[in-house]
Amino acid sequence: MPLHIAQTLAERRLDLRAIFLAHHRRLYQVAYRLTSSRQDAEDIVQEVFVRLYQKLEQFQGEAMLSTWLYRMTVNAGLDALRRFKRRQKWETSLALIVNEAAFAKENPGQQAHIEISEKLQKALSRLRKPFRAVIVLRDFEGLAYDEIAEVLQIDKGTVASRLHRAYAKLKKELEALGIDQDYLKL
Amino acid sequence: MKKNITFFRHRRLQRALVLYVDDELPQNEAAQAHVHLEGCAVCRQKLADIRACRELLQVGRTPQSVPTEQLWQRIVRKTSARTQARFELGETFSSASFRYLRWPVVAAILIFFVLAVWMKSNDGERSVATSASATIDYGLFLDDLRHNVSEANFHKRYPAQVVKLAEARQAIAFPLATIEALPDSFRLDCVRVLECNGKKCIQFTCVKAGKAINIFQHALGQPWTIGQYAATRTPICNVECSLVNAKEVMAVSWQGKNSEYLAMGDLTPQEFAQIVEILQ
Repeated sequence: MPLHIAQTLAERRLDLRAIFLAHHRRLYQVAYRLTSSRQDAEDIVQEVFVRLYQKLEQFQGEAMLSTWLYRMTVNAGLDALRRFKRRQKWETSLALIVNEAAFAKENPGQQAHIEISEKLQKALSRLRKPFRAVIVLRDFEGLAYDEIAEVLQIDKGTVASRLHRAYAKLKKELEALGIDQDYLKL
Repeated sequence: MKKNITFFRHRRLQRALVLYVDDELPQNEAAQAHVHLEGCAVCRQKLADIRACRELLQVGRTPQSVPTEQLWQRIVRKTSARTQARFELGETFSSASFRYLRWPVVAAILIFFVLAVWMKSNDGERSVATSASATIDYGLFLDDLRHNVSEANFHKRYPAQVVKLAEARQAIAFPLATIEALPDSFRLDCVRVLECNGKKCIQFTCVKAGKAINIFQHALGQPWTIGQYAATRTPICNVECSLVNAKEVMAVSWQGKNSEYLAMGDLTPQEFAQIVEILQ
């Protein structure tokens, strides 16, 4: 490989590393919340950064990059859900048990949180994909309405309306799993 | 009617409740919502539900541990593999600007390939058709002589049969040239009968001082060409001739009484004149 190409690639790899360190945790959380699977989340983040590697020159601003990363992650997450819809039905509960057990090991004494987290993830995984995406971006990632609109490429009003319906569905699912408002008082 | 208005107010407000919770409503709408909420138990309940969900989501927001280095190594491996592939294919082929052209280019290459295959497969048929219907092209013979390939391409296109002089005489409809009249220095080596466009012509091959001379005789009016070679009109022995000087070899054609002649070989003008004079 000619030297100038090798140098360009090395510089590009350095840039990618910096972006990876700045964003990968958040993207991983988004991917995990969408898919309920660590393996899928890893695959998604990997794929997003591989795509980014090929497009690095196209990004000039951090805001644009951040939105693009979220969009790629959400799209890849929703695609993964579509592809593994059947598999997910079988594996979601197993994945949750494995993931939460791992967390319990890392954070002893937080049993109540673990239980809520587990049930919450289970309820989330029962929501339709567009509802799941808005909740993950708004409540887990704390994105503003405008940002969510940009990531999902919908208008701000649709974000609000989806969120409204998503909370209503989530409440029903949580109640079905035995979690209600009183649970929080524990 | 009042019921309907109330229903629509609830619906509209409930859709806006999320924005109200997040302080995203414009000030006047937020004030209206506030007033409505004070007097509406249903909407207050909805608001409480949303807040509860929000709270629960915050409580259950357990961050997953991320395998940072493991993940980075996977990305490095994947990008290295792709970079290598891109490099091997050529950077241009994978570049962003080329991406939009990729499929049209692939389609064009495919079309070109299919056309090339189709033309090649038709080429054989065309050759056969040429030999069956087109004019005889002595330019091929000149090419063969110049490239020392011993008439290979010419006879591939125009198959010839080696015959005796007497057989040649019977094979054609016009009187055979008095080849025997040439001096002994032009030793007759071979006589062939060629067929083109359903008509027969004769090829005499003579040898003079180790050099081969080919003389073709065909019927008057039988079409023929001399390929891409330029011919000049020159009178030789009071006979109007066409002369092609292809450096290594010369070709002279002329019209006899009952047939046309074409002589080719590495001969001097005097030797060509001798042939024209005797055969005309």
